Amino acid sequence: MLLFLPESSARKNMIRKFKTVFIILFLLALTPFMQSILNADGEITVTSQVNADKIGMEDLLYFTVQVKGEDLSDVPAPQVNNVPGFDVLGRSRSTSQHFQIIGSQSKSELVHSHTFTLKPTKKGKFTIPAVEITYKNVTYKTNPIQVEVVDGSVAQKRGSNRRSLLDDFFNDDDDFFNRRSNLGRRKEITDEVIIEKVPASKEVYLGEQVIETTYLYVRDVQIGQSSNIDGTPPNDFWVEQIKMDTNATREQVRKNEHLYTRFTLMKRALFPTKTGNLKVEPYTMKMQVRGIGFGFGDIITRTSNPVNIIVKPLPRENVPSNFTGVVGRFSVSAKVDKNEIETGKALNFTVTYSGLGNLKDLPEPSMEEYKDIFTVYPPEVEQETELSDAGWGGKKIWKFILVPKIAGEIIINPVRLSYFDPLSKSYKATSSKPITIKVAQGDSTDVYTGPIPSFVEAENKDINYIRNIDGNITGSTRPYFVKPLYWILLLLPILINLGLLLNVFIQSGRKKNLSAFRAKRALANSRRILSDAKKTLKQEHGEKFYDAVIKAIASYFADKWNLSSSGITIEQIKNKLKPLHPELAQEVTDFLEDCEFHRFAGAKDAEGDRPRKTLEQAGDLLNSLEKVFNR
Amino acid sequence: MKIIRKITIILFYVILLLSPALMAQNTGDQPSGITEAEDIQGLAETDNPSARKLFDEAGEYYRLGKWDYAAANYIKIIKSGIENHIIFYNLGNCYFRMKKIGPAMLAWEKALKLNPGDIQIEQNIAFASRMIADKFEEPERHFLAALFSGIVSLFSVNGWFIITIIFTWLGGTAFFIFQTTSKRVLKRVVMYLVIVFILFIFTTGILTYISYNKIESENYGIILAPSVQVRSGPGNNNPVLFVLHEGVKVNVESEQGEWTRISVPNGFNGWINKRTFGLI
Repeated sequence: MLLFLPESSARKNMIRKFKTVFIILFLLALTPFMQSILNADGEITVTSQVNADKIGMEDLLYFTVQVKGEDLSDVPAPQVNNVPGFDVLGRSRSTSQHFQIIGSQSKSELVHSHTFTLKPTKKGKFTIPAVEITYKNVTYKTNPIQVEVVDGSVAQKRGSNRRSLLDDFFNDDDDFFNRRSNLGRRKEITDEVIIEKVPASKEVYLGEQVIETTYLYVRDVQIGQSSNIDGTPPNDFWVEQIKMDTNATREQVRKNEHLYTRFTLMKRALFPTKTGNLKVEPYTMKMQVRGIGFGFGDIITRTSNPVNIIVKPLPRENVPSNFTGVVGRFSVSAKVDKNEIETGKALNFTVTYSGLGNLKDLPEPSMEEYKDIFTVYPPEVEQETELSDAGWGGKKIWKFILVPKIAGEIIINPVRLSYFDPLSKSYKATSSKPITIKVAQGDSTDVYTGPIPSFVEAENKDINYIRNIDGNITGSTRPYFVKPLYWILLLLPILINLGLLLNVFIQSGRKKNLSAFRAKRALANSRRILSDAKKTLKQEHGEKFYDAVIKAIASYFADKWNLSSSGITIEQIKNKLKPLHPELAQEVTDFLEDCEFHRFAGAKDAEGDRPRKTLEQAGDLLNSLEKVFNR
Repeated sequence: MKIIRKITIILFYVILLLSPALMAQNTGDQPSGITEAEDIQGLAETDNPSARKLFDEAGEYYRLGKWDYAAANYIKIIKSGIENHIIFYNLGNCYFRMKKIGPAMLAWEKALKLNPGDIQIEQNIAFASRMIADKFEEPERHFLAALFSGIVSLFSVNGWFIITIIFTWLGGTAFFIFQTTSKRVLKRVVMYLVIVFILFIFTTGILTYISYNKIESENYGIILAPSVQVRSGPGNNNPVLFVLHEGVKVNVESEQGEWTRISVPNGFNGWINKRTFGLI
């Protein structure tokens, strides 16, 4: 930088002062550069500070831990829980981006500021312990900070003698450089420096990415030091900061009839999380500018334009059933590191989604269906992001470790993903290829101790083989209850029991009509007895003959009157028959008494003509009696 | 004791006569496919030499990996009127090997309908279901409903009917002993047995009816097109609600012209063109 000033002692002093300032400025400008050199790729710096080293009991202390680095996406948040002498009331986080132009190159750095609000609990001198953050196996540690707590409230004012040059640099109101730059100011800086945000698209679908680029336009002046880019993180968007290629951030462009040098300050991918007309808040940036006619080292503030993005809902038509909200363009692949393995040995199963879109939305591949086949360990997830002309995206990789539990041929089914493609405005599906793994029975049977897989899942590594039909090829079995044979089988025991029951009922009915039955059968029964009597006559058993004749007559009356034939007497017969037919009653009585007499007489009465006549007489009597009873 | 005996006798005959009466209602509703198969050529109970030849050839084609030839033979057998679950099962295997998941699922489901509870068919369906794009979670059922459904599915229609017959014989025998024996202890034991058997006969008779009715009343189809747009009404002018893919089993609810109203297990329903699915 050359300055054209008059050659005088006062001016020489001025030059000397400016030289001092320049050296300081140079060192200041060099500081972030040195920091950036020190911050090799992937490294971070962690610092802490408090808003005051002396506070009152009525004041609050703000303890801020700043984490700086190019990529802070995976850096854990600092933990501040127990601070001696203080209660931790709350915490907040803000994010800003620091932008640095060094020659033709630019450097951007993210800053996460974690501010903890502390309330003192007692007076005295306390030490806020060091805060540790472990990132990529390196532990970063801040310095402990001493704070004194006194009674009442201490005004939080910074004396000018305590200000650092850095503090002054970023303060417009009372600024070291402003005071000095006013000496040489000639022109107001207006459109020489412009910040502009440009969204790649102003109308997108829900979840579709919008690449937002922030440009710095500069003409006629040079940018020295610059502040962080301050902007409220948009509420309705998921934001992914894009790591930029620092060699391609400077170009000459024409804007508003002027030739500008355009620096690409920042790029980020915005993923709308709700529909409607969404506003992305503008950025503000402070920077030191210098140039011929514009004074030396003016600090100016520039605010970008706000951006409005119209977010449309996803189409409701043709939504696949397994759609989980992924928007973009993706492909999925799956692989194993070995296709032949033994049970109990581990294999790596890697599922890779790659494409454009919000990688955070990609669902974890489900291994639920393999839980009985493999022991599945929690996956290691890796993410590689990149910005291409087509948009922001990259790869998301799930690395599972699988340990086969059972031997056989195991098929890992295709991993499927449905997504909405904003370019074609349609839902699409992608899937990996199925993987076949041959698992042999290993020696280490003690590896798996879980439940035994169910039969179906264990055996179903493929469909069952075709089946044969022995004998005739016929139609499948009809339902049995349309076949008569089965109905007969069903009804047979019922019919048998019905028949049995019917017989019981018949027998019961017969018992009820026994007297009538006996009366009806009386004559036949008596004649049968007489016939038996005739047989005994041939054997010359006179006693038995007459006994049978008496029994035949007595049975007749017993049947007719439903009495016991053994207990009936001649007197009974006479008395019961007399009202019906007196002559016959007498005749029966005489006959029975005569028979009684001959029975006692013995065998001699069984000879000659008498028995025959007795039989005829008995037959006649029975006929006569039957006529009487039938009347 | 006399009263108990009379009640037992009355119960036995009322229920025994009631169970066949209940089941008798089914005789008029036998599966139409089976009767049609019989009506065509009367092959259901007779040998068919050409069917045997086609079947054996199909098996050989399958073994050689000529699945399309094997499928053609199985289709010829089915078209001749023989509806055998093994033929449908083998046909499903052919389609599966030809990577036609929809027709494979349709053939296996038909086989399962002809022979409910066939473990090999169920295994194949379960295996192929993993390859269907659409996965539906069955809605949670009440414990008792799930238990009842599980009991009904324990046996096929024929299985339940055979069990009913066995219990009828056991009950009949017990009742015969009850009537004829004069031993008081034995009489008492068989009396309780008769009561138990009557309850079993009644239960299994009802389960036979429910099992058969379940098969007949449920009307399912399989999506055969690679993907089907399910619309809110019968016609292409209606909005698309969701998309189903090949192989999905849908419940067929009603028809209107060329369109059929279907539903899927998660409760979604809509209309699809008749040509896009096959009835089981």
